[in-house]
Amino acid sequence: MEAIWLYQFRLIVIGDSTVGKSCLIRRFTEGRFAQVSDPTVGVDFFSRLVEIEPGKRIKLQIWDTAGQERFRSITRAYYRNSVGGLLLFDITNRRSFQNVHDWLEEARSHVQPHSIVFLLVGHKCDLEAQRQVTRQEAEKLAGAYGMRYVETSARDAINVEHAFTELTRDIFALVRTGEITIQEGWEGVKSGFVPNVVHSSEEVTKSDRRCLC
Amino acid sequence: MKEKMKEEAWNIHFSEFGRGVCMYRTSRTRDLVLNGIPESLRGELWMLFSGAQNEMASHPGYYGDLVEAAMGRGSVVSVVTEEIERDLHRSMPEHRAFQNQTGISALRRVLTAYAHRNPGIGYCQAMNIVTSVLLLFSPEEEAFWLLVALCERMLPDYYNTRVTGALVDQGVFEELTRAFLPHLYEHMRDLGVISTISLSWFLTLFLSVMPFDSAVLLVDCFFYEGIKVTFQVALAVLYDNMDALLSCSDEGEAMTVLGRYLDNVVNKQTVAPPIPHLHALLTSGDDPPPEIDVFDLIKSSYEKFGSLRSDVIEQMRFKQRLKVIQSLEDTAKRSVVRAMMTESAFSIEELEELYCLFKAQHMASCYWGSNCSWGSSSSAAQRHDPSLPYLEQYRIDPLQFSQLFSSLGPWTCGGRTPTLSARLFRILDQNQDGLVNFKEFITGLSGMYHGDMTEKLKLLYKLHLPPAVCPEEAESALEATHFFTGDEAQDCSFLPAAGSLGKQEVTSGEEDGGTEERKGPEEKKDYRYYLRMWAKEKEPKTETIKDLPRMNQEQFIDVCKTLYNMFSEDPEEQQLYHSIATAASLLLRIGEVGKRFGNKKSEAPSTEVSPTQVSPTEVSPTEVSPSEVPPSEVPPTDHQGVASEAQVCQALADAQLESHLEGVREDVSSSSSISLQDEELVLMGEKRRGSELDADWSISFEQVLASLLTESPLVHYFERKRDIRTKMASCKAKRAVERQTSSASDHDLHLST
Repeated sequence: MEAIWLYQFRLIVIGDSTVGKSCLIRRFTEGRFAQVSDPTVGVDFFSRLVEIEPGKRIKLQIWDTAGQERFRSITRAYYRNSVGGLLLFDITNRRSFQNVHDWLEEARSHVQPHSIVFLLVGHKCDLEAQRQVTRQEAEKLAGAYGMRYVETSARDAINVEHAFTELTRDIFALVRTGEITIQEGWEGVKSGFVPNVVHSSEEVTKSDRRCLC
Repeated sequence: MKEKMKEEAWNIHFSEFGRGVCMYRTSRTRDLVLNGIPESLRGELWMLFSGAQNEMASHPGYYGDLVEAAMGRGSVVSVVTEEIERDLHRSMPEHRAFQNQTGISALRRVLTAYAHRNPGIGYCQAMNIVTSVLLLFSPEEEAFWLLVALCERMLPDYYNTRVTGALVDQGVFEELTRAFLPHLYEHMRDLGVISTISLSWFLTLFLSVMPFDSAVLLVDCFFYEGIKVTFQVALAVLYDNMDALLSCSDEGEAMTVLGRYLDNVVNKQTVAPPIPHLHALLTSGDDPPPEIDVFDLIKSSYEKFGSLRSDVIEQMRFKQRLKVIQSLEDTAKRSVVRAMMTESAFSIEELEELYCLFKAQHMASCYWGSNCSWGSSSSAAQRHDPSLPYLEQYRIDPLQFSQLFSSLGPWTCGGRTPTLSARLFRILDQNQDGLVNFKEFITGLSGMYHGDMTEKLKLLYKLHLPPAVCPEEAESALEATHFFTGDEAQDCSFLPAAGSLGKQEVTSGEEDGGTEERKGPEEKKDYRYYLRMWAKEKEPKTETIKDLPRMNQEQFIDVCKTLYNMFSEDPEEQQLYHSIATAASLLLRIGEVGKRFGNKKSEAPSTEVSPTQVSPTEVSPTEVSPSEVPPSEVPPTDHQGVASEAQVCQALADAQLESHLEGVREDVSSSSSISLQDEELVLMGEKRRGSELDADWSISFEQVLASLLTESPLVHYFERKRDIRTKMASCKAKRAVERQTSSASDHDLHLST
């Protein structure tokens, strides 16, 4: 049985190979850190509920993507139906930071006519000694693109909850103000059934199958 | 134990039906395989069934040499070695064998050697997983040959730079689902889920999605039966989850259902202590779903879908391959066209067609090799790297560019077309790698077609200054002229001038380092670069006409020559010739006056520069030989003015001579607006080459623009809207003809070189 949720947001996680996309998602959805893992082939899927305000739960569908260039033709298909995204780089790998721009371009050109709310994530911040990207420059870059910037560590569980929750809150705010709307044929945002909340009749009929709780 | 019994059964089989390459394959063999090959025999039988054994036997020492060659590069860190290195610790990391250097190094050697053998594949994620499993049961060299068999025969094109083969089989799998499980297919298609789930199943032969002990049994079957088994099992997995899948409302749920199922496919006969499966290890199950016996899964896959035949799959692959390639190309085209929409004024249809022509130009040289005899350093085939961003995938060299320029450009300049083309190429080739991509190509083309007179003149102006004009121009012009005309007579009239031009530019190239086009070799750009770019994007373009450097006399004369050539086939030819002659002589005097201002400011306090201020008193007729000056064209001015003006007139006459000779073939009467006989033109052309040019003379772009604006035929010419569609159509038609004839001429070309 499905837990009650107000909205479902589809997120996509992108970034260079080995920046720790899968590990970050697993820390968030399963609460543990995998010492060992294998590379993601194609795409993988995870989900979790987050409570952004007391009683207000959002279901997150998180799509994990392969970082290697040759899988782009496959991962590209997942931008269109995403409302939010985490763009990861590894703070100990400068190249992965330099590629942030390319990732944004890639996303931008495949998400149309929709748009994605991105969060820039500097991952592996537990490895302070090997840092190659300063917080200041990352913040500056994020600012230039109008993104928030968060530094996380899946190993030490630093800011993982924070990163996902903040992004969810940002999207939620945009949904509330009507800047992001639920659309037929677009999976980015779906509405759930919540008792005592007035919904348009269309939304209720669309989602009542899962909500016979 | 169970394992011993299996070994015994195989030994009996060996004694009855032989062992090694001469073994008979009977129905009993398959039963034995389906029961799971014992670990001790796994490597041997994989080698046998895959045919890897034959390849290894026929290439003794190959692997060793390959490793040496590949690893010998040692210090050279390429993209491939870097990608491999990153994944070495992520290949069967749960297995003891890959938790120490021995295992890791073997894996590194096999993958690196393979990438070295087959650059078309290089290294693809998923190969690490498969190879690590091969290494568990075979010595290193055998594992290598097994990998060769997988990548090159058993899983064709799976791991190439666009994972084409895996996409093809994904399409085949969808077709099979439709045939065998029509009800489920409808639902899955709505969810769009089949493509999502199946890729990892195929690319890793279930190794990344199932517990290892179970998946390895599927690998056994795969080596014996080929891809058919993988399809069978994939179908059986869907079949087993039919009800759950039918009640899913989105692909996420379907992914969860299938993921959980696959995590729980177990091998209860396994001998080794169970290796915890990564996914199972990490997926916290609140209510652990029932375990599925892998042997039951295999058995049921044969019962329900065993009718699947390899030759049928092969046929389906053909059909799918076309679709996949087509859709990859379409995506590329769409993405490129979309990216270019904002950057040019061409319509979507025009851009799409231009993209096709551009690609065809690139491809033609792949097939016909037309560029190899022109000393190009890399063939087009090598240059095409599908892993690059779409805009970079197809690139053309100067010669290919020249062909497109002359057939698609609005400015045809007769004999000067190759020169202009080469110059435009240099302006467009921003990273100076000798190749121009589609974006750069369109930028250039759009500059000539769209924009107002100022924009077009600006481009023309730039085409006559460094860096568009470069020292090597003479040579490339020679090549291009030969290529385009093959006409000896014309070469004679054209090339010596170009030669002297070249010398001049060696020195003048120094004086302006500041033009926009000049950029150092492209390095990996840092974020600061992008911040700058981003900041730039926000403001309107700031390059003003004042940023353009001044032009010297030689360059200006060159501009005039180009204009003459451009006008030579225009319906308004006569007026245009007259206008440019007027404007040019005006500009020459302006440049002259400007020089005087520069040298003696006190003498000429007026800021307004106009031809009426030029004093006619200093004329000294003796300085000018009468034969050098066309009588009707040169009004008397100061003596330097006369000298240079005479030179310009010669230059113009030269230019006209060229265009005249060009025009002779079609229409002899159409050319001379300056009233000179052909003999005189030739005479003048020869004299000019010996004369000195005025080094201090210069004019600015603003002056050129202002003067040309006073001549309405010129304004009309540059403001006229031109349609690229007819050019594209004739270009396409021409290509169709070329295609039929070029293989023959290509053959001749090879014989002659």
